[in-house]
Amino acid sequence: MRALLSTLLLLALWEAVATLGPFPRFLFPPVSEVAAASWRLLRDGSLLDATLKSLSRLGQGYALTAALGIPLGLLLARFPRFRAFLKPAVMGLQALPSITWLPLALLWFGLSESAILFVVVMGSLLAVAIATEDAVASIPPILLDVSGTLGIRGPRLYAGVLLPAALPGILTGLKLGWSFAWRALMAGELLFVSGGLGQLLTLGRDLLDVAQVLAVMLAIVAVGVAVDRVLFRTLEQRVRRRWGLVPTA
Amino acid sequence: MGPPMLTQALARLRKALKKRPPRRAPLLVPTRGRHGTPRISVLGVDHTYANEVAALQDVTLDVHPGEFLCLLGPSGCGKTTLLYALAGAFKPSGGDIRIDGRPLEGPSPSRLLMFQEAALFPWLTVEQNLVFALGGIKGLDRRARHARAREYLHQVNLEGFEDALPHQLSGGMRLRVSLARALAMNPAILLMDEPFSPLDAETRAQMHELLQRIWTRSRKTVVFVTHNVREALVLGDRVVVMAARPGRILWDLEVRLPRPRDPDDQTVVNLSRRIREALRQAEALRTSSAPPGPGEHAHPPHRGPA
Repeated sequence: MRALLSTLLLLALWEAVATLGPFPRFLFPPVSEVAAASWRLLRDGSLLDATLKSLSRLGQGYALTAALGIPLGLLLARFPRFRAFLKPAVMGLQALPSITWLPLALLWFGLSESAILFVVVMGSLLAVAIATEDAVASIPPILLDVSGTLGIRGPRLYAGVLLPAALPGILTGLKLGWSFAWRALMAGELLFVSGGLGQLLTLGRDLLDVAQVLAVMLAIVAVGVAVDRVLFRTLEQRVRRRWGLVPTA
Repeated sequence: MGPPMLTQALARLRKALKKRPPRRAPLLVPTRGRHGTPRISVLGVDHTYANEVAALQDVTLDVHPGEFLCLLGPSGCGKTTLLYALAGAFKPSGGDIRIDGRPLEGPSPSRLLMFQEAALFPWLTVEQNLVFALGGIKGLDRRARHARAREYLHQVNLEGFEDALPHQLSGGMRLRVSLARALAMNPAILLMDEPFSPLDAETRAQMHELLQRIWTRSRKTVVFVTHNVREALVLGDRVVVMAARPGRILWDLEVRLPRPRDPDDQTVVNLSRRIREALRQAEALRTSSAPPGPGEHAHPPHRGPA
């Protein structure tokens, strides 16, 4: 409720500054024009198409990230030698902004779908792996001890104890990884005739249509918030409640 | 149940028997050696930690099948170290441990360890916790696992809580789940590391009653670590009293009290006072040779099949 109120206030302020201020209208359009642009993009379907295109691309990259990042994190946590060998590289590469993978991706994969996927995966994989490693390393030792005495080892230990015990932490990592992947995807799409939201942005720039640029930016914010708040928050809360990490009402 | 008159007469008789001072048969006697292959045989075991502390020195002990043995002593006496050695969690620096005559090799669910906390998997319901643990037992299909889980939950009076999550239960109930899980695994030896110490006195007394009831039925071999003298007397057939620096066995005593035993029973209170006093003397003397001890025979206590 408060968030809604303050958002409305900000939009009103924007409208006022854009109409009354000294800025050229075509570079700083008021909210009403942006809203009109949003409506136009929605009506002709291009916004929806672009969003679906971006999301499906993201889905592929993100699935790869989860499929590789979680096992990588498990290995890092469970095998000290593997960790000693790979951890410095992981930490180093994690510090790279994801957009810097793009030139390499272009050289390796050309102007293609795979290049974007590569950037998305490289931008989010290590964050997921590191969060998974942390989560597995901080499993209460008593759970490992009791698994030992109950004779739980091998695949039963990994699937039945380590993964579920680390799940709350892994989810936090997946959330972080998702936001990284989303950013990397937008960066990648800007440079391509990709059909995604990023391209819609570029198109707006090429047409000198600032209202469209802003409208697409708002759409990107909306998708980001929706996934973060709705999907991840619900998932996290469910897991935390089941795991007994929050007091049940 | 018989007619009320008879029941009353029996109750009176029982009371009278209780009042009589336990002179005739000594209640606490040095354990004598037994024939047959012991379930657990500990021979001259030493263990020194990296910081040079002698956690165990020349510990020799036999535990026979079906015995309930309590390892009793102050903190630092090595009782927990000995228990974890029996579990196979580590290899002591010297001596020999055998299980059914064979050298001990690593941890195994046949020597199940119960910890100071319930150690349940928090994301699984009570029943799922048992079923998951039973998954390691071969020749048990899904249905049999569920049936066995429910059977043991019933034994610890937890029917109706099968679908509860561990964090929804009280500490005592969680511990009962843990006990049910341990028993359902049907280990040859149950190793218990002060499992009741985090409980309040009332709940602990309930657990003592429950454990005695289950044990008299199943006659498992149990090694139970505690620093609580009364707890040891209530639960144990044998109480092995240990002392610290170096960790060693002082006395190995057989408890000849009828079951079920009550921790507030005068006999138990008296015996525990005697053991505590003897322990205090031993601490004061701080010799490696044991003082006479609380046993009721004059001859020195038996210290394993030397």
